[in-house]
Amino acid sequence: MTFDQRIKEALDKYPTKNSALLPILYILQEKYGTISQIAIEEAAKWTDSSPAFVYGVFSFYTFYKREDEGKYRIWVCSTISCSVCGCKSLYEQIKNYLNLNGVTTTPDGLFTLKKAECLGACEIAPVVQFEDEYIGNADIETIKNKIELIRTNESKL
Amino acid sequence: MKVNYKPVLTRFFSDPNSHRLNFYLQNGGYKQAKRVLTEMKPEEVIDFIKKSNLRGRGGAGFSTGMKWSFIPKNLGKDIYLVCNADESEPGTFKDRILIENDPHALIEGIIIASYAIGAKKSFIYIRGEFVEQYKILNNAIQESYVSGYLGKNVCGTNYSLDIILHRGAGAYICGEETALLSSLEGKRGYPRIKPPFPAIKGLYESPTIVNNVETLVTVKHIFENGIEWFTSIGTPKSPGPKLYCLSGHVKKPGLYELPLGMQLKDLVFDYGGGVKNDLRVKGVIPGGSSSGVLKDDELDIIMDFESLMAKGMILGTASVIVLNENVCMVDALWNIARFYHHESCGQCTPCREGSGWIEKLLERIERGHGTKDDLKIMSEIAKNMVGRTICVLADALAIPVEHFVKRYFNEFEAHILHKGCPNRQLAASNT
Repeated sequence: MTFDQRIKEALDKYPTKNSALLPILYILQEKYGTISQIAIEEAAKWTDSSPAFVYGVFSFYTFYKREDEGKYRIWVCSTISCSVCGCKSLYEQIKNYLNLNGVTTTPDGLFTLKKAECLGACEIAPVVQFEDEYIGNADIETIKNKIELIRTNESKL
Repeated sequence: MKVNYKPVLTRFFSDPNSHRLNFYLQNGGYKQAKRVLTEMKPEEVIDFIKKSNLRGRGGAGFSTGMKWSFIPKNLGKDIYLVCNADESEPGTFKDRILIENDPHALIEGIIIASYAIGAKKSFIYIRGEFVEQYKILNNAIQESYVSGYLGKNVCGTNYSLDIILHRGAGAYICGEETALLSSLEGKRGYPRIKPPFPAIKGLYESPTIVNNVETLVTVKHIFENGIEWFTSIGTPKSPGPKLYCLSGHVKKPGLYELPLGMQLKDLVFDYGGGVKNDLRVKGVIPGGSSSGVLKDDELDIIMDFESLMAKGMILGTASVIVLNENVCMVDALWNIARFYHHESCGQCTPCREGSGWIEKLLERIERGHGTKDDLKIMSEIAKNMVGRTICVLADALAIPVEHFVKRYFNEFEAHILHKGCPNRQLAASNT
């Protein structure tokens, strides 16, 4: 299915056009990589609303990718259960490994490192959301391996 | 002491195929939906759940049958059932594990509940981060459509039902039912003033019931095992099994299906195996980060809605977070305050500003710049947040502030007197 077909399908599912806005933003994120101004304007057209309204909705939700984000997200859960299970030092280790000094995205645009609020997987703390995947009982070695695997694959592209 | 209880909701979770339709059907799946649709009237379904005295498992503990009965009759409007799968209360992970392992039990619960309230369309609002769980649930829904358990003529009856699986996009507040409905309508996740309650004016201004994942799964099991089974478990006012989440400094963190009304210390020590590295307990958060905190000598408390309320706390999601003797309680509360400040939707001034001020005060105390008035100011702010906002997110921070400061007052005071955290190296979770 094309992106347009998927958007039409999403619109068909809901009683109102606006209800399809969150799903449409996900589809456009796949299309453009991030929620860019173009994506905002396109979502507004599909839902018969204004770009300002769509931007207002988009900016409320943290899970959409911002334009300044890298291709892969590394979210270290930092809320209470993970915090008492060592997420702070894990975050620092990842930050050092990626050489992030005062920035959150690597210069090659591949990785964005962020502290996340509770990811809802406290039984396997500390938890890292690596792009879409949850990594439980996370340690720096596991994260390093994932980073290197992506680096290798990306260099072949 | 361990109790004599045989798990029902989670009994097949060790089987790698428990999420598949075939497995579900082999174990009696969709029989209850079929029986309800063919043998019972909607009012009888509501009465049945009322009699079971099932209380919502999302945190508030409101009677599920009662909630269903609030749907107005013959209004001529569409009616909606919405399943709240936006699980985000820190410490809570039960709904995620339920969806991973038994998505069809949720779908069957939704069929029964939708039939009871007269809904022909139902929504599942799942949190955006649960990408894997979204896929599992989506597959299960497709399987159900293909096999005639959803869509036109559910289970071969006249009743038709569609389920729309809707992904959230990262906002704790969307777990609040009216915020969830705003979000489902494609808006910012702003809570709405109640009344009108969703049962009268909910999704698209139509009568809507919002139920938690565990609640709907439990509904299915009450029909399968009977009211007597259900009420024989737990306490008279809080009957039935409950999924307890154990996390933090506990040897065996995880999901435990046990009767409501367990003693907290049995959960922590007999099931959780006690504190990691055999350290001592400093505090236990009983029901998710908004629920308060108990000291090591208070762990004989009964985990039901009434006993925690009597202490000015809440059972919430029964998500137990164990904190060992090395945890700095100022740091722990700062972490919690940061969470609620981050997640405040910003509509109401007391919550938006209050949560920010509390976070700043705690940071200042932890970093050694606290003044002797700070604790009083913080308590005043917390008190002024409660009951002055559209939703209870403000209360969700005010409760832990009150109980952390009350129970660990000396530790908070020592931070101010000695200009910093004596435990800094061990704590340090926020900076």
